[in-house]
Amino acid sequence: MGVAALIGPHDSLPGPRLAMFVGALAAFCLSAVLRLVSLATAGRSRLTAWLDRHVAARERAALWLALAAWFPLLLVVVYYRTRATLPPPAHYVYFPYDDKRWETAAYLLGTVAPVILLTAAARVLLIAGGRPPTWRAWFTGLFLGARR
Amino acid sequence: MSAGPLADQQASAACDTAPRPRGRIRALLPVAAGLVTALGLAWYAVGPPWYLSQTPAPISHQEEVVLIGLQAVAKGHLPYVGVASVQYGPGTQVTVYWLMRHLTSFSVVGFREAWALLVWAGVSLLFAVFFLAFGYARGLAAAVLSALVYPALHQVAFQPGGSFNGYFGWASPLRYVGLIALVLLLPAAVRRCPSWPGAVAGAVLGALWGLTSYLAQENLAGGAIGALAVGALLLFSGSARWRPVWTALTAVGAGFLVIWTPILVFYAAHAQLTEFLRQYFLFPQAVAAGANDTPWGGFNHAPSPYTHLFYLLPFLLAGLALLAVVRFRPLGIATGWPPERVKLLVTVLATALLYEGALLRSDASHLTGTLLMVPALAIITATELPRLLGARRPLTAADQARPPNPGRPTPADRPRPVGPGRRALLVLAGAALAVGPFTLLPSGAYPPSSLRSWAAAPYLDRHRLAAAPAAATPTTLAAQRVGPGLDRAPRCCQGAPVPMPAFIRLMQQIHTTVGNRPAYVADFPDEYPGLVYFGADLNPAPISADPDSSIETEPELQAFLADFRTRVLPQTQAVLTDSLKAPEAQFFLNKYPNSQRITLHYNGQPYYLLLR
Repeated sequence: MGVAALIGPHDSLPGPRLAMFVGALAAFCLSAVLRLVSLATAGRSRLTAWLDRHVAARERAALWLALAAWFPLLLVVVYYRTRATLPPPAHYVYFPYDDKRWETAAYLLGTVAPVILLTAAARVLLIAGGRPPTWRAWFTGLFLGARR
Repeated sequence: MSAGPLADQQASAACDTAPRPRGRIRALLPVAAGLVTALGLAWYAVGPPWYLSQTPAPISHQEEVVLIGLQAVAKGHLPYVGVASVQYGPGTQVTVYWLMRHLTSFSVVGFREAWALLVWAGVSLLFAVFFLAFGYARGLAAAVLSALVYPALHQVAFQPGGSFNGYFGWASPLRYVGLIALVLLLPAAVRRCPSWPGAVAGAVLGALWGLTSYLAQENLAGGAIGALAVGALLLFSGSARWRPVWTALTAVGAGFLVIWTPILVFYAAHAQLTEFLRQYFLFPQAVAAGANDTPWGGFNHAPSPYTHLFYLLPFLLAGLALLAVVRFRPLGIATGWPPERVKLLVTVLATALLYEGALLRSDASHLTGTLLMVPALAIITATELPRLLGARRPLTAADQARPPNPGRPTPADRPRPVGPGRRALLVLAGAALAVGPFTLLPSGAYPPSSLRSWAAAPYLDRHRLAAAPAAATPTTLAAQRVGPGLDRAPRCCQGAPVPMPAFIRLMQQIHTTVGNRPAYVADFPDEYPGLVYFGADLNPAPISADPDSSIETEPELQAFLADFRTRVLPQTQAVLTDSLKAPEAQFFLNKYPNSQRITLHYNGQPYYLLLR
């Protein structure tokens, strides 16, 4: 938002962009409030206890870790969607042209990527539970399995 | 089926304690029965005899596009490059040419017979993979569903009440079966690695993937992504250790190189390696970047019976993929996957990778690859998912107190007996999951009458066609190029309603007039030039690429025309065109003003032969 304010035209923001900024600000405030609440009620929350009964803390952590890796990948979709607004690099003589790379990127990020990220995140946390002392131990745990 | 971990210790233990010969034979019996059934079903559905001389279908544009390459190879040009260039896989052109020369005949009918052989091989391979990957019962169910309900295998098949007909020159399961085989069968190879049977299995899979990638580019990228994804998932889930995964993937790569190294060496020896690779990746890269891509139903959003399937399938696949890696009771991410979970996941993965192609070229034809896997997806989801989601008693305190061991399945993943009530619920859930995919298909795909007609068509068609008298051998060269039976078809070609005898007369005239001169066909009314090259047995001029197949952009077209004017024209002694204003015709007339001009006619329009 700061960059847009600095370099954008000095007039009122278009409606959709203003809505995006407001939505992002609202989500940021909500996440901050939730974080403060979780800090304030650490160890005393009924919600946390209920969650622990149904989904173990490590599983929830794996989900958040996977999401943390997944969200930045959405920028790939944004990039290709932006590229699709540009004219084609050349005039195609016989074929129509429709840049759909953003669709395939979104599709792969929605179907294949979550599975790999969830599984990898669970593996990382499983190894982390053993507190590997060195990077070699991390690598061994991640790819070679635990020592016997 | 045991649900053991896929660790080095078990693999080496399996190697150390090899089963006795009698036990090994007993274990192979279901596999052998499955393969025999697969081959038998494939032969019944799409195998010979096809009686293609009695298939009166007009020569399609798709066939015309590939005929120029076959004619160029017949005249001594290198396959797949220059005038023999084609946007599809090089191996298909070489294989079809060899089959036409040595097994069928060098005619359009012979081309269709060669294509039918490829389709038969593809269906046989597909069914064999289903049986190997899913076992006998589920493999049979997937194969029968593919043959009777889902339309992918109907694109080139015995049509109910008709003949063996379809999308010759384009539709073939070999375009996708390499990816399917690699993704579905790789876990089995990993389980047996690093022992030598596992390495051999990996190498065989790699060779199959290499061969099918040579036949069609669709297998290459999808297979590579699928293999790496399977390896990563087995590794990160703790279902396999690094060494078996690495061994299996290395064996796959080695098998792939065994196929591709001679091919690359061949083209390098002819100083055409760069051109070969450029041609191989030309269309896939262009399509991935946007060329020839369309929204579903085209830019006019024409209605299609597969619209529901197209729009709902990606969400279904996303949901199934997540469910495949999640365990319930307690809720969490599954680790140390048993073979059942792996089977479900690779089935979802293969379907997902095939669907990606349909996102680019979004029409019913390009859903073919996906529809090859959807029957298997339906069967495996219905039989595995309910069990994975709820077929377990709750974990006891002892189960939960046991510390997790990477590389071994968690207690939650070990099968535990279920009560009768839960079993009934699972059966109902499985039935619902089995029936669900049918709702995505057009309503006309699965009524009993449709199933009966597709099931009986191979038998009834063969029976009826066998009773018809054999077609007479054509006498003229052009008629021989069309083929017996087809030379009397009421319509020659897809573009114009011209009777086949009239088309043959024109081709014979062109053959007689042009002779063995190096010739360039600029165009032909309503059809592709490949039809004329092949039908008139012309000697193609050494152009840099087939303009209708391998040239996409305006700069490429200008470069082609510049090359034609400077390099090709001095080697060209005939230009055929329906318009004297065509650039190539203008070049020829300007360079050779004393050239002979002969005007023939096709479908009421003039067709010019410019000769020198």
